Amino acid sequence: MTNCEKNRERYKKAFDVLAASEKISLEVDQMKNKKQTSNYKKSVAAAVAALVFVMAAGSGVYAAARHWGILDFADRTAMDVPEEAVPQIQTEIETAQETNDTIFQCTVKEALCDSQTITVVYEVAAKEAGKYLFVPEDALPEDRMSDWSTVSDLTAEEYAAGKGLTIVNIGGGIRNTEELGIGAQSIDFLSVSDDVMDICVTCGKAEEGTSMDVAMVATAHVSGSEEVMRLQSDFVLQDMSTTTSTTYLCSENASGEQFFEIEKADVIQTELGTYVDVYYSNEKGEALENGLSFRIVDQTGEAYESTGGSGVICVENGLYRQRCMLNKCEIGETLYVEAFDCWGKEVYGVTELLRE
Amino acid sequence: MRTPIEWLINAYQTNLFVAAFNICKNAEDAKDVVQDTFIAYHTSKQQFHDEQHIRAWLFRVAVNKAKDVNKSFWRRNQMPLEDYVEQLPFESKEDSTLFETVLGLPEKYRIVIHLFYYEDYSIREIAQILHISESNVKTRLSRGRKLLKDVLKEAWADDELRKK
Repeated sequence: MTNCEKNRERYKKAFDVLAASEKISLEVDQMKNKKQTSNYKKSVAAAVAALVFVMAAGSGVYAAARHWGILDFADRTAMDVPEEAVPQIQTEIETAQETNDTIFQCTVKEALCDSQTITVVYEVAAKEAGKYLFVPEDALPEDRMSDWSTVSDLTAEEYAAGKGLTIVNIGGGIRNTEELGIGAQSIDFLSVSDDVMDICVTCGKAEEGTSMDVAMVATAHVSGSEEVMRLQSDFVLQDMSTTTSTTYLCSENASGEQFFEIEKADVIQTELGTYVDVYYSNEKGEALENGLSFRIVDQTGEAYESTGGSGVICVENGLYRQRCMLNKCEIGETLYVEAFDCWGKEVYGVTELLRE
Repeated sequence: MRTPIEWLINAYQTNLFVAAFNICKNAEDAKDVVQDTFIAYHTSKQQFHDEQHIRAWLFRVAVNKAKDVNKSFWRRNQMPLEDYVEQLPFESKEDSTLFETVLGLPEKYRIVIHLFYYEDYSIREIAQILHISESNVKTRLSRGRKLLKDVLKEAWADDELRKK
């Protein structure tokens, strides 16, 4: 018996217990009369201004040894880093920093980019060990350490008091957003130790160059102080990806009698992911509160898992664009785009587009 | 082709429940997922090539619905997972440890591990069910196996395929 067969046998034995213990007996007639309840994913179109949010941490079983990397942060989200993109993760990153009198130092640990996105992990460490407790930028004293750390479930306040530490809120992000065409950044935090924090910043970008100047800023706000300390790290990021783009077109009036009309979609593929840009006109205009959003579905209506998206971008007068970001996948001859109201629950319908 | 729903329920309800439980980690939610999956089949007008196509479709829908449950703010009030696992009649400590370790994996690895080891799906079939690339499936399977090996040690054989 191969090792795979042995594992399969062990796995089935363990989970067969579940199958045997729950007597599932669906009432067919009852079911036929039930209406299917639809679950609508609520997704919020990103604002044009930088938007920062903190994501919850995972369990303590998979604690990192020395620093958390891009793959560790990706584990906690819907984002996959395909095998072919892993070699593109840059680790030997030279940074330029001005001399500073902050209480911390900052090191850019890893970076990964393709033609569409940037992901950077940087580490903020106290210059003087044993004095501070680093917590995420938006963390409150009553927040649980387990949101970003694997060492304790106490509140930040309790933990700091127990060890005589001063709480410091750590934050930051990419500073030269206009130059790189960055609309929104998502930021995640994982603690390495009390006064060492790893931060992962992910964002979409419009800059097309293969070599980009990135200005990363780390901030620290000591509890009780009004001052926010800043330290900028400048480095060059290389885009080593290969990009292909395929256009999908739809027939006239494919969206039906709607207030919007999808004109076309571009499917952009890199080693890292699949990006679908939907171009459409909207009688109601581009305002965010209109709520018109798109997701990619298959022919049965099941949605592909999204890893992010963009806000509404006006391409030219009356023509708008929204992006759907997916884990790397294959799109066939037909692309199905479902339109919905991201604020309410209404689904407007699916438009079929054919590969050009 | 379309197969009568009564036949499908008999054939697949248990397996769909186990898959849904793997994701939701909650028996009542998993049962709801199974029910909603069959309702989706009943109300869908989709035509299928063969029974394998139906089976794959059912698992895809069940996986998506189970993921939606996890994202939902409202969960069915139910006994804590630890209490539920404690009352399951495992034959050995090894079985319960494997069960708990799998449920402790990140969701995206759990799903792939389950479809591979319990449902005997191939990499290609899993990619089609989850709408991800085969490369992604291999990556998730590899990382899931590594995490299982790290925790279970000798109780999990090294079955990682290595490049020659």
